[in-house]
Amino acid sequence: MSSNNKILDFGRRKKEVEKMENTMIKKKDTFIRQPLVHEYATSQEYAQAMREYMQGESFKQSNARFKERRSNNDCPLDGTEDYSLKKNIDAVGGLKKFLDEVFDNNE
Amino acid sequence: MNDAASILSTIFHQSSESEQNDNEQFIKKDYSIIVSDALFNAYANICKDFEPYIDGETLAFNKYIIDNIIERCLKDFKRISNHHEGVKNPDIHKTAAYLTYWVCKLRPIQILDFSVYDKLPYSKYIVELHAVLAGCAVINAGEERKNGESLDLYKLKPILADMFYILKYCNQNPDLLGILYYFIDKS
Repeated sequence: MSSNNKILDFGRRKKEVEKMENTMIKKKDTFIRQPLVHEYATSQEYAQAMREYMQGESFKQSNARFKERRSNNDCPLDGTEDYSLKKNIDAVGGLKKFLDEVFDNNE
Repeated sequence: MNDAASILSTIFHQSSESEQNDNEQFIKKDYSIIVSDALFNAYANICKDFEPYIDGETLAFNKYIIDNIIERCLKDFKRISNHHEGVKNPDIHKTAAYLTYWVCKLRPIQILDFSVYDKLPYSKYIVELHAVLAGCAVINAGEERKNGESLDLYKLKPILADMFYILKYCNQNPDLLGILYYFIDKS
């Protein structure tokens, strides 16, 4: 790659990064930030804030989008098309049994 | 002056074309669908065993964080395709590794009531379990797997406890995780 192209390539990448950052900022503005655990003195206060957040508009919107995706069959949660995960988990006898074996072996 | 202008215009024209090609190539392989389906399917499989506790009071699943994970993964894939010559599209193992990395970092399943540690023995590592299962789902979703072959969880068994510990407490490098997935898969 010639030096000219390298410089321009860098410029193009910078432009792309700026574009992505702008979209990220825009997206952030439309959502209410989720409460973080270290901002609350007690776990009860945090649980209360979390409950309020879950009843809020941004969480409801996110839920609605998720339900829409599910109703359009874009994300099959029924395990019909789960990239062989169900098959693999069934083959090891379920997650609980598998984890029991993993941690027993480790001890 | 005219020469400089013409050179610049041709170069800019070229760069916009190459930008388009990059975007087309990136869109062609729709990572967002693979990644989001893998995340939700891993979650659905965890739910079968842990469902009574994922009630929003003991354990909560945050879909906003899922959006964030997908966005960050795509940003990383785009960075890899643009900045690393010779690696145009990240392969399935690298995709799985980046997904695992971001799930562990952003933690979509959150523990609200820590007494769950006593009730559920492995709830401490529930996020790491979700991350590893999502990684396995991505590996199974790869185009090379059209013949029905899938990553067997038995292959992960000897190292899974250590892997959970490393994912939870140590610094990770997604590229190294990709190599780890590759060797587990090919073993």
